[in-house]
Amino acid sequence: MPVHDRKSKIQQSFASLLDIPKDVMMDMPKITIIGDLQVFIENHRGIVEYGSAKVRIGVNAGEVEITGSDLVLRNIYPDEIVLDGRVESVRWNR
Amino acid sequence: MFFSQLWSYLLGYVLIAVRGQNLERFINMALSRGIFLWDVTRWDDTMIMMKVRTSGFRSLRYIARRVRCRVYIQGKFGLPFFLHRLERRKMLAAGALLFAATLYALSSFIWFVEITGADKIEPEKVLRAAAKYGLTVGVSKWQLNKSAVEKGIEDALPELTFVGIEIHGTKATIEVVEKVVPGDRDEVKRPAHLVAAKEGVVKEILVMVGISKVAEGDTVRKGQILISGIIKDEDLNPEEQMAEQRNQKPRAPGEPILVRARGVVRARVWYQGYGEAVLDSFEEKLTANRVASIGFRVGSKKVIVSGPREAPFRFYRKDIDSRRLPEWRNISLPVELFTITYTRIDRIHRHLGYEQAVLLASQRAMGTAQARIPQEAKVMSRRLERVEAPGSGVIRMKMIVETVEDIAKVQPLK
Repeated sequence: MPVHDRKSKIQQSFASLLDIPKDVMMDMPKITIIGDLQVFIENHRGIVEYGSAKVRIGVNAGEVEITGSDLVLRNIYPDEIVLDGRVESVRWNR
Repeated sequence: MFFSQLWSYLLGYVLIAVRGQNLERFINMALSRGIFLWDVTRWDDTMIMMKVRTSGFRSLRYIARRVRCRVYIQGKFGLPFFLHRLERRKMLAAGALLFAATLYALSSFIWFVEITGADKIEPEKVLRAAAKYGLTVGVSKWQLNKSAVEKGIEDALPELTFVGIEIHGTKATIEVVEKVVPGDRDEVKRPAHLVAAKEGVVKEILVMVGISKVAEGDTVRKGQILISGIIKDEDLNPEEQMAEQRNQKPRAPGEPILVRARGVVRARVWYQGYGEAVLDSFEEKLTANRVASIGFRVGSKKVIVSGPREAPFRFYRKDIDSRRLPEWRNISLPVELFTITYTRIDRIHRHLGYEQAVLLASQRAMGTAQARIPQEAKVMSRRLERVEAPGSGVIRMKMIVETVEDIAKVQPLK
């Protein structure tokens, strides 16, 4: 078992023991999807690819890939991104 | 969100087009430098459009050089640019200012005068009176003395009882209330009975108009007819009947004459009052003698840290002040800190003597009786009675007051 995996497992069990939200404890992104209109990503690691049909956003353990049409980055802050447009899929790439 | 946009507008922002190959890197570098970008849109394979505040634009040029892309300004928005444009068009700014000033100036005059409540009086008359005292179309609001105009109109037009002026914006509303001339009061001429307003025993009766239905010494109920307003033929003696036939317009035989009964019926009326007084009573009084105990509660377990566990007094008041830790997210800790304050209460025993209790109860009884007796009634006698209730420690007194008063009340005939 790799060291990283063991560490994250301990973190997870600790988080569930204390009832602390996982995004805070494990530095995970928090993604909120409003219908097919808006995707809201907190705790990101920058934009990997940006196109009007496909957006990839770096997060702690991989990438989040959003496909759709007319995708617009409504706001970009150092820790959150608001993505508008017609969303078709939100996918996790490891 | 809204404030961020407002702030962007105040600082000024530009719409830029960025052309190049590695545009994601451009965005990430801007991000790491803390430059706020928004409305980022893909134009085509080599170009994206975005908005950035003027304060962040300078650093973007540097990033563009590093990433090897070109930045073109497509549009400038916000207050600084707007003001800059305005500077070149001075007449426009002056016009806008003039417009605002004119609007303000015109809104301080009265342009409409309206009258409400004028039913009989012509509104023109009120308007003329108002104009005479300074309220017309075109008068300025600060020169208008509302109360003086109100007073002036009231004096000028005696047919009004009330004049009120209200100003809403550029409209003045004069509200008038007309005097109502009382119509001839046929109310006081209509046929009626005199009935008893309350129970009593008739002492004397004086009939001026009508037929008496009760005699002296009769006991009457409330609402009973004392003097009737319906006069039948058999009530009249022959002489009166003759006179009646001569005076009145002819009427069908047997049909009664209707009159408004008038007269005085004085009767003896009794009123009752009741009062009581307690022989032994306790008065509770808080003292300054207090003891506090402090503790905490975990779940259902109670721990007292300092102070007594039980109340140290026989009679006391207990005040509990408990505090919890503030809730954080959805977590609330089952720990509670509390302070219990015991304040000693002194009970003072008060003993009234028999005479004193009787006196107090009598006074109370008299008070309740007196409250029921009308002002014009003449009090004939007062009688005090003790209501027996053995062994209760309470003295109960009853007071009976006898009065003589006029009990006749007008009741119109249907």
